[in-house]
Amino acid sequence: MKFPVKKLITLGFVISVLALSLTGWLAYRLTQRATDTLAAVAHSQEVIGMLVSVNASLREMESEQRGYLLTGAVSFLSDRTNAIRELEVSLTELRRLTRDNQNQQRALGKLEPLIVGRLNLADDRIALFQEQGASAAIAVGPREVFRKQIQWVLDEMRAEENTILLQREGEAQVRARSSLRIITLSSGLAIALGLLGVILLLYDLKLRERAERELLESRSLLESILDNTPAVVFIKDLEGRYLFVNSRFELTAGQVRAKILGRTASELFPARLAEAAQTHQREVLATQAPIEVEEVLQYPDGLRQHLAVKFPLRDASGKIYATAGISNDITERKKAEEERDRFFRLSLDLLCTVNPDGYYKRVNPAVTELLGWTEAEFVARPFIEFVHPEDQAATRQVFAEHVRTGLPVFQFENRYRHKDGSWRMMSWSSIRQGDLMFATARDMTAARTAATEISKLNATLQQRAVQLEAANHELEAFSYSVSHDLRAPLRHIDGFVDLLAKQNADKLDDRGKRYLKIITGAARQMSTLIDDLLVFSRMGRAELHQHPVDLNALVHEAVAGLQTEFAGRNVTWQIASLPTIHADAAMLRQVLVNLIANAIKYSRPRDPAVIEIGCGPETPTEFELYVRDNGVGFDMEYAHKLFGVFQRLHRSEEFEGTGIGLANVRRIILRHGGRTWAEGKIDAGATFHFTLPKAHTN
Amino acid sequence: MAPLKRILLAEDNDHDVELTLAALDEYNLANEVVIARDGVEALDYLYGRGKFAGHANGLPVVVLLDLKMPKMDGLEVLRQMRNDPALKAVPVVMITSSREEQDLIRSYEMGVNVYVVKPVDFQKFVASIKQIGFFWAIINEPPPGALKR
Repeated sequence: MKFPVKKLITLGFVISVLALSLTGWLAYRLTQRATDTLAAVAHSQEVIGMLVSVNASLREMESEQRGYLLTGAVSFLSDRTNAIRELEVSLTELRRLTRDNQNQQRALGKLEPLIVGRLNLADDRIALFQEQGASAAIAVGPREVFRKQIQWVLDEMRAEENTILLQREGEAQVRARSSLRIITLSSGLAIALGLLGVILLLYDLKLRERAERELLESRSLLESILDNTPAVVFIKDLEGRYLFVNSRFELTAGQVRAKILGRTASELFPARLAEAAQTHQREVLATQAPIEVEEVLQYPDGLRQHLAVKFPLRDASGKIYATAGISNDITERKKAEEERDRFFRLSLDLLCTVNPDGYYKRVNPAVTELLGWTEAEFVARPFIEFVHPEDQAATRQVFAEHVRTGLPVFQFENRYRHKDGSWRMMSWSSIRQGDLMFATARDMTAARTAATEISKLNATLQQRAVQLEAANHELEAFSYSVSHDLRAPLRHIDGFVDLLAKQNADKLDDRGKRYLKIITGAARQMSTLIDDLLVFSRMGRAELHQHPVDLNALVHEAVAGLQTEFAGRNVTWQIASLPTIHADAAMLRQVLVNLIANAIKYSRPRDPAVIEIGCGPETPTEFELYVRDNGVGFDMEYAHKLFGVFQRLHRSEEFEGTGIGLANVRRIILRHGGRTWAEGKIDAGATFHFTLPKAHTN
Repeated sequence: MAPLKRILLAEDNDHDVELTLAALDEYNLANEVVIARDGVEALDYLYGRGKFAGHANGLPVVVLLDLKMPKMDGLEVLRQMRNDPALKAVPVVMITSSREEQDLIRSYEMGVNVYVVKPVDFQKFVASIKQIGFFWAIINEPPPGALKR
């Protein structure tokens, strides 16, 4: 609570003083009145005393007179004269004393003639006595009248005086009472105010104490901060002598505080640094405002870059009495800035800042590399002038939107004019920060052309694929028809020849029968050829459905299927334990059937025929299998013809066959990514090898 | 009197007809064969309409169908037969020179009983036909209704 304590105290004080003054004055007045009253009382009492005195003097006079009259002693006369004289004195005094009271004066006016009258009477009596003797004097008696009147006036006067006295006393009492009341009040007020003042003072004192404590705390806090901040802080006076330095400063000066304070920069630092400091000091004092400067400070481990704020300190009246500085180590920042600047300069992408008015503010050297313009040329004109006319509308819109909403632009493409006149496709990304747009651009021309190329190629590829698909379909249809329609005439040939033979068996001689047999044979041969061709063709086109295949099972299947081929013959099978491989089962079966069938066929002259099926050495990438027989073998010189289509190394009279089996094998194995080869020796058997790549474990 | 067991042969090629008949003849079944030249005629016989309207032979004990025929092929005939409750049970043997997997699949899906590939070798062909004829016409009990009408 903000108490205007001072004002209150002052006010209270003033009121107290006033109250006390009032009290004092009233006390003075009261005393004065009391004195007055006392005086008045005394006065009245004096008057009354005078009246009594008058009365007494009169009595005295009468008494003396009586005495004289009675005795005729002259002493009485002189005493009477004295009494009269006293009376006169008293009267005069009375007159004087009652000068201020009209009533009394009036009364006196009445009294004096009465007394004169009485005295005259008394004198007359004396005279009478002296003339006629005592009896004459005593006999006269109007003195009673005077006496009564005088007494009456005296009483009146006394009463008056009493009244006055009472009045005065009463007044005095009232005044005294009211004065006392006021005094009490004033004193009370003064005391109260005094107490209040004391309380307020104590309160104020407490506040002050607290303020002092807080001040102390904040000071120590401040000191703590200053000594712990990494900033270098100092205060120096107008002559450059240090008034305050923090711990960090001690570090740069290489001295303790005590040795620094009171010294100037030139006493503590090398000339160059000190001069800089002094220049700054001068500037601050000249401009009378804070300045921001970069400076170099010396540390135990070398020089470091600093950014300092130096500013003037003003006293309560606003006059500058010192300067202060806060200096921060920006060495790291500088390094980062340099790196960033380098980055800006070296970047191969276009980096730039753009003003909302459509002019480039700053652009990096990449602009020359990418677009041929110098930096100066690029910032000289509004950027829209570099944009392809067809892209300008869109660019304007995007830019306006970007400036307005501040939402980032991401990969906006347009064409920019290269200095040589060609157009480059640029991809822009931009972000707004405050009033400035920060943009990067990449030359997409190459990528664009590549992309266009790619899509063209893709389109071509697509076309080709479609064509291929169509071709395959045609081939499919073709084979289908072939297989069906080509066979029909063959069947007819075979069939009717047979019927012919049967029905004309008796009419035909051996030669005729032989010819018919040949015809039949030819037809059957052709049928086989057609079948083989179809299979061969299909093998080339069919999709591979690769799965793990147990070769053992497959081999046994194949052998079982070929039972009829070696029925009745003595064949020894040596089948090793075969691995599981990754292949198309149906196709692989075909391979095995072909190879084993060959083995069976070409070992026909042997007894026993030994057919071996086994694995070759396994490598990390593939399996190798072989089928070996102890049959008629072949001449290695013609080995390269073995796998050719319709290529045979034996005549059909020796061994039947179309020469397509091995071609099929090769085709299938090739499609699996394997290799085929064969070894053989005339009359010493043959071995046919093939490899299959191992499945990639994903 | 022994009921007449008819075999319906649907085949467009004359020579093939002749050869098939010759084969069936070895089991003396040739007399029982009704020839349809295409799918339409085959159905005509089965429904007793068109060319074969009013025939009193009832349903055949087996139908020998060639796949490739003009107008309506064997598969279509088979489909119609299988969709008709009256003809559903009639045994169908597809005799064709096609070993195409597609044809096999479709025929079996359509509910063919037997699928035989015509070998070029006539001897073998004869053997097959004989066996087929023997089996369906002699051994097998035809579904009831084959001898009706």
